Amino acid sequence: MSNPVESAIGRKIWSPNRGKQNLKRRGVSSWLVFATVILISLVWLFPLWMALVNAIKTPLDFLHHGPLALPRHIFLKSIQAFWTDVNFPQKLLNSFIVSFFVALFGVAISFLSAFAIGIGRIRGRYFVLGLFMVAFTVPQESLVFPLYHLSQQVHLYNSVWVLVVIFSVIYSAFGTYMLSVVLGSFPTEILEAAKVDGASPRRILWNIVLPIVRPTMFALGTFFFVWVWNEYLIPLVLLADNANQTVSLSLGVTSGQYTSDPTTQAAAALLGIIPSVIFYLIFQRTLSRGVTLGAVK
Amino acid sequence: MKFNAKKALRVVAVASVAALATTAVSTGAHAAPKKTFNIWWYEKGTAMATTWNDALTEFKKAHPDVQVNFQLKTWAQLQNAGNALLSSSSAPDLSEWNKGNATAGSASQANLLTDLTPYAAKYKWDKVLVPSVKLYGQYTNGIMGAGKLYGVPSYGEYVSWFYNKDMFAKYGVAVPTTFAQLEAALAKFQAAGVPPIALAGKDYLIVHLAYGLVASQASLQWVRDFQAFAHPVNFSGPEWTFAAKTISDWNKAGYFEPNVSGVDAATAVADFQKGTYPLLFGGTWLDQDMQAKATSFKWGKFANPGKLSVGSAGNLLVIPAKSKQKDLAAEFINMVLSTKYQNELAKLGGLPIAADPKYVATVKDPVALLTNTVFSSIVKKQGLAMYPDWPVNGYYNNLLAAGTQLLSDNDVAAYEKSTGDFYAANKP
Repeated sequence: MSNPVESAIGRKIWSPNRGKQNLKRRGVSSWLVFATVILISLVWLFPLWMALVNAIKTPLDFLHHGPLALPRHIFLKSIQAFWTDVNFPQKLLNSFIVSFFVALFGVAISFLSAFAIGIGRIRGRYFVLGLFMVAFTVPQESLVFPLYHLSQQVHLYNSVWVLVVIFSVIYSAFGTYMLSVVLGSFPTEILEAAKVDGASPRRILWNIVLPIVRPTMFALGTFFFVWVWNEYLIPLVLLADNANQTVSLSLGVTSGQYTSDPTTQAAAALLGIIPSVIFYLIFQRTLSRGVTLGAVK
Repeated sequence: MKFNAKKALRVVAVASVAALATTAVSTGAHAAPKKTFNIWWYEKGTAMATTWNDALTEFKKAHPDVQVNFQLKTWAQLQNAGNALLSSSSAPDLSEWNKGNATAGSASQANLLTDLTPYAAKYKWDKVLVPSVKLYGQYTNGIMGAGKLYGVPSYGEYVSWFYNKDMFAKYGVAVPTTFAQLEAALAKFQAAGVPPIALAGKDYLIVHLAYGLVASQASLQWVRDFQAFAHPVNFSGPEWTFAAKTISDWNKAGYFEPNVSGVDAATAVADFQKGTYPLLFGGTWLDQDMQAKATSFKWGKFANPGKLSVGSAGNLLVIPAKSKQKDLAAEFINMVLSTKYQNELAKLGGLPIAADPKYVATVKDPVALLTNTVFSSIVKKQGLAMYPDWPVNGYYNNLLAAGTQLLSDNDVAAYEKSTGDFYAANKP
């Protein structure tokens, strides 16, 4: 049984085992793919490179030689100034708390509801899935003021936990949709074998389905983490105090109504990107496992 | 490929405990018994920021029993989430606020700001806030210009020409005082192979240049009609047409940067600071940046020739309706308006509204001197025409899109229709 997520990602190219088999007969097409991948990654790395070279330039150097030139000498004042101006460690901690708990709760909710839809095959599941699809295509701009009033009423306004609640719910709509598709193609042989052996639904959930889709859940959690990290509008409206704000909001300090400071902006961008990059580097293995592993082990 | 569930759980547990501990610590810190005073502004690296900081230091000394919590906000946050912040339980006791109908006006209409009229009487602010300055803080039904005082302006700003003195000398161009001289100067640079104006077609610079040209032809009555809807405004009339036609003519003559409709403000300002273009039409908020970066040549400023200039009093200091320390807030506003801090503003190159003229005359800083001289020449001559995006909500985006379009197709009639239709559709 083929897994739609898996074939969409392109298992044929990425599977490590297939790669080893093909090593000896690597033809022109493999090299073409390789060259394309290198090219794409260079395009993707370009913004990061821009942030790096401009963050360590003096403002005058930037003015006279433009954004593309290499720095004449290393200048770390922009990074230092931004770090202390916005109290960056505090922003980092806030962002981490929000991203971590959204990843945790978002994936947990997604998994439980996807189990009901994908394995439990509840009545009206296509309708529910359609509803979820609508839920994650609603633009955030239309949600922001209702959320503002709700958060005031439950006294969570101006607290990082309000973001944890909101984004866990918003993202779990997407997570449920994705995991339901994965679980919908879960091999029925395994489930039937478990039922014959007398496993309760809870046991099937915990001991059979969970271990097999765990890598996919980790991948989902990683996505959630990085998405929340970059959220801007809802945190902007819901977090009034600087002490509660997240990394992406702190980047706003670098531009005024009419003025902007390109080197400080680059420094801010660099400091904002680095944590997500580190996070990816740590979790990239679970990420690639998540998308390459099949339902059948 | 085995996943260690216990290890993962342990990591989760440690992280949750750490997170809960930090929130516990931060809530614990709020329990201080001192009276707190929350003050926000978003000026950073400007003369206003320095002056206000100094005033705040004096304020703290005068009130040792008050815990002053200052937060540097961002312009974007107050612009996008302003009313939400004011109506929340986290509203500050005093804040800088964006002036205009869409921001301070809409907040006053929603009863989110304190009427400062009693404080104005108590501290005799009418002596320092002359009517032409005070009107920026007065709103009736959310429209600026008259009525209760909801915010206090404490400085001025305007848009004028920055020019490269070295290039003017090199090409033998004199500082223009009439529109004909300005056009002659532009033609002379162009003939010498130097495109004269650094302009950003996809940023506020085009909006300000267009309105600067409108203002050069406009009367004070026209400004009142346009800004406060006293009488209908004709967008095919002489003021608006002059601006659109001049921009399209200058564009056809190649007076702007190549591909000007795609240039952003930071690039255009940098092009002037590098010494590539001899002219830039920019606001006083660029002064500090100019002083820091336009170092390879001498530069000066002159007012746009004509009747009025783009400019106004600066942003407001407001006391939110939810402020718990209104008297302290008014006391701070009074400090900012005092001669001591108004003089300091002048010294630092800001535009005070109530400085001692004798003191201002002694200021030696070249930028401060220049800024104040041009400002007083503008004020002495006719007055200020405010900004074009104030009358109706969302007008800035419309003016910008129409301006960018004008620079790419030179279609004067389309520009007038687009800006006129939007204004007519959205005016109250």
